[in-house]
Amino acid sequence: MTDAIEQLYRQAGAQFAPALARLARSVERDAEKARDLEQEMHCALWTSLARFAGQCSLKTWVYRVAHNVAADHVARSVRSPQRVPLEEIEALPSPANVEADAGEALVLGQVGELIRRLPPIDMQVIVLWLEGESAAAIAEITGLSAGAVNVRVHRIKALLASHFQFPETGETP
Amino acid sequence: MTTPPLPGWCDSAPDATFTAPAVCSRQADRFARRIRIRNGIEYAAGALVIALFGASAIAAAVKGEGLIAASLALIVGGTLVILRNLARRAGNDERLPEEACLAHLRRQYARQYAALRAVPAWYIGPLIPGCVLLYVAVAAGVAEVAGWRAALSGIVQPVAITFGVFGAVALLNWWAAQRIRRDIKRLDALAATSISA
Repeated sequence: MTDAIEQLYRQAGAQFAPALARLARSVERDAEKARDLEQEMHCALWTSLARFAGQCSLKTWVYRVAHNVAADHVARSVRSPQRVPLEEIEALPSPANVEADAGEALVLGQVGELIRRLPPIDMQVIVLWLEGESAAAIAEITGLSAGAVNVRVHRIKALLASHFQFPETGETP
Repeated sequence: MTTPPLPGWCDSAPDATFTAPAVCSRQADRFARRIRIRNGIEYAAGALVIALFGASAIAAAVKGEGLIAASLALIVGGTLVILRNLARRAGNDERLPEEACLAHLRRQYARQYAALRAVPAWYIGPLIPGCVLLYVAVAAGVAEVAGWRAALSGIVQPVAITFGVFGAVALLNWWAAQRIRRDIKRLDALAATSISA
């Protein structure tokens, strides 16, 4: 049993470790706290895999655990910005990192700042979209409908439109 | 999975790896130890209150101050009820982070809402009968010597402070619970649109 869990854990690590690191760094600005959060995600996943019996794909399981741990971390944070739903945000905020002063780095900094200001569900949709997940996959992970996911993705695309060109296809992203 | 929409987003942290399982096991042990220590501190504080008020109740009974002894015994009983509530609540902390995010968030909000709503009934309420009887007993004792007017005027300030603190704690918890209830309603509306979609 433990061997099977360890194998699943290693498989998940090989596929999703960078994505979880990016998630931790996007919700937690403080680098040391982000590393702690990353480890908390790993350990929550390690513990949860004892309950994994193929109810969903390993990807869905990993992302759910990671995003829920991240949301719990945000809820516990004493100092965090006022959360504003995505539909009420008019423009990308200024990046926290003042050195991110040019082109793509600037926009990535702004996106990171935007993510930290969003309520948990909006934050989860946007981060999964940035990872290149489809609307259907995001819907399965978050529990939202594909329509609700598309509304949020459309909104972030509109916010980013002045910086990037997105192909107008029916499928997210 | 499709092509990531923002070039550059997926370029960061390419060398990230998972924490070793052995470290996770140690982390889980540390977490369990922290919970045990937290529970231990709560029970030790409860035991101290019980010991102090219990001893005072016995001393008052020996001196023939029946009303004071009864009020102190009620405070001991109230503390026991609070400790039982703490133990019951600690046992309900089931973590299922693999749930869909919407369901997980709702469960967390519902747990916080229930905890905040429970404060007046579970943590303040059990102490009220003992406190009320204690003030009545003290006032009656003073009234026997100096009359009820003097007794009541002397007791107004401590009563106001005690029940003012209880009231403020209950009010703050109620206020926080209402905010969480609004969050739950928002999530329920979102879930309803997701189900009907």
